[in-house]
Amino acid sequence: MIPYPDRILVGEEDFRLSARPLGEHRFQVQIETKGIEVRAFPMQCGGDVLETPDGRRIRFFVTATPKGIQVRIKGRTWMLPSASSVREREGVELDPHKIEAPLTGTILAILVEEGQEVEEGEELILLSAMKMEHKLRAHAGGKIKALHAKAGDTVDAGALLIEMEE
Amino acid sequence: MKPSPFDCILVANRGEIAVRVLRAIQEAGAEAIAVYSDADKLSKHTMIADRSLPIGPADPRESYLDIDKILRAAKESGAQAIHPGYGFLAENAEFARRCEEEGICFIGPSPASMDLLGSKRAARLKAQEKGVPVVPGFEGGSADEASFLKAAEEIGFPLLVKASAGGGGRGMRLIQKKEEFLAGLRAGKLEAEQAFGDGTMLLEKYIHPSRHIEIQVLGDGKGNAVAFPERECSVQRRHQKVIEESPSPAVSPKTRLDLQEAALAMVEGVQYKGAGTVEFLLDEQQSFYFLEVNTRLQVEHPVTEFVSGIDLVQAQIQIAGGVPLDALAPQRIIDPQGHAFEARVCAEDPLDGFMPSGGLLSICAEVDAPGVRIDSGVYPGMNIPIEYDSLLAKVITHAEDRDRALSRLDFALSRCAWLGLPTNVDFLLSLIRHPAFTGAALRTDFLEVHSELLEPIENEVPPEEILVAAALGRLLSQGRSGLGSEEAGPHSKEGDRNSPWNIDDGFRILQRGRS
Repeated sequence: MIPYPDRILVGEEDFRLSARPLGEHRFQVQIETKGIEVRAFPMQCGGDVLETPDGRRIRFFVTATPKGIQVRIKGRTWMLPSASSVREREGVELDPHKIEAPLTGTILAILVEEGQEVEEGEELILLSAMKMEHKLRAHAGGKIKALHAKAGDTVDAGALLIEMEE
Repeated sequence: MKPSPFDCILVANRGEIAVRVLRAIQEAGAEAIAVYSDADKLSKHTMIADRSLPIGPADPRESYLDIDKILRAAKESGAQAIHPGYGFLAENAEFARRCEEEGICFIGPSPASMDLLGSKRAARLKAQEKGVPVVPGFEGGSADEASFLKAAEEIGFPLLVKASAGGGGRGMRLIQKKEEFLAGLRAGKLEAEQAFGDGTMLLEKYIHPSRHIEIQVLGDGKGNAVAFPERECSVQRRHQKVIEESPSPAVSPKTRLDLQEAALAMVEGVQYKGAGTVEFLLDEQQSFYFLEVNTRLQVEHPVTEFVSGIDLVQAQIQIAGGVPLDALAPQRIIDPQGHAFEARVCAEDPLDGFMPSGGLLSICAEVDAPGVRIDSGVYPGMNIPIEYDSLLAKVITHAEDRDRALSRLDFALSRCAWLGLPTNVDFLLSLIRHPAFTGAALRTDFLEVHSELLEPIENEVPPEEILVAAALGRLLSQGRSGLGSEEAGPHSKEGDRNSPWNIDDGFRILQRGRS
């Protein structure tokens, strides 16, 4: 099972979430500094039930994912990103001159050659993954310095496919 | 329906279609054999089969596409027939031929009719021979670039460059003007050579706007065939269908009959055996043009089952066993009863270019309701492999008319939950509530015209109940594993962590069964 994060991001704000049981289906929920007492009914298979202060019962689904907490209520899914996963992502600078495989898949076609000048947004590689075709485009203009894959290769997510230079 | 003509049938596929077909085999009283790659050891289809055999690594070329391994598994399990599902080897004439040689019945058309109808170019020539309208175009073949350019100017722009061996949009290019033509032709050819090993190209006029309409057929291999009511599959993203329905709200009874007769003309003369689909484009004047034939069962076959009352997979099995067509479908032309929809639930993020993702499906709640059928390939706690199609399940609904069938689809999608990874469910709900969709103003470029459906809502603050639910999550999940009710079943026992009896709380849901 994937652990629940302690803190989530809502817009720019960072919230600490916690809850403790009070007995008889009552729970004390803490959203940062705000405390709320709610009634909730854990269900064994698929969907727990939350009772609002005015007595309405709402079926909801909640789960932790690698990116945060997913909640589904009334036919809508909300993704509440964990504060740490967002910070990690923002900490990594993308190098626009490296083209990496976004997914594990098979290279269908390399549309450029070494030494070729390309413009930003130009199609470089066709990758087939999960039966779909993905067009990998140049993040920036430049010259193709090295190709690290060829048509027919199976590549892992994150594999370096093309190096470019300005 | 007679019981299965075979005692034991192997399904050379995975995911929801393997589950669908394995259950049909079991219902017919035969033994159902699954095969699985390393990535699918604990996938749903391997769990519901009577026996499951490993066929190699996750890479489909070394497992689900490996003819020798599939045939070896069939021999080892004593299967007398193989159902290929869709995708993988379903339209591979070489596979059908090898089955024949090994004395195993391939549940599908003969290799000869697959060769004849499977190639876009050959099928187009066949359509012209039968008087079925085709999109104005150029068959190309081995013609040189100058001839292609001359033909393109005659057809006029915009036009489509297509690969004869193509599928899923590969090798296809939309060319807006003459100056772009040769570059587009070369790029399409290169892509087709790399993807299919065949760079044979053809040209087609770009019919715009258009609807994608298709006719399901069943043939008995003796020259008899039946045509079902049309399906409309206009809403697509990157040439993959998103929502299908039957009948089409745009097709008049007269056009329906013309489409059905055209589809029959394509298959009756070739001793077509089993299920197939003849695809057409329909323009705004109710003129239709033949596109291609798919010589297999399609993903969207359940909408046809709903409006015809005929179980197409059972019919495929019966036909393969030599049962005559009139015992399965009495009329040559079948009219629709009511209206049906199908929505494809995929593990992908529509707000991020439909980027697919794998991972743990921690919640999978598939509802039961009148007129709702869910063909699912997953269970709660299943690990979704990244190596294959992102289709998790199909939600199919049926009612007496389009509006009622659509509100059933809305209700079902709203109440279901597939969580743990991104899915397209909320996108599907926005799509089916869009006025152009409810108003049946469908077209193949629907998602380009209504691109607002693919834009995220900026800076939306979740209501408090969402945060409350999120805060309760950890506590509730702890409670779930320790509740110890009769529902806990085999899960509460200590044991092998990799056993499906211990990895999730959903295998019971799966067992409870939805047929």
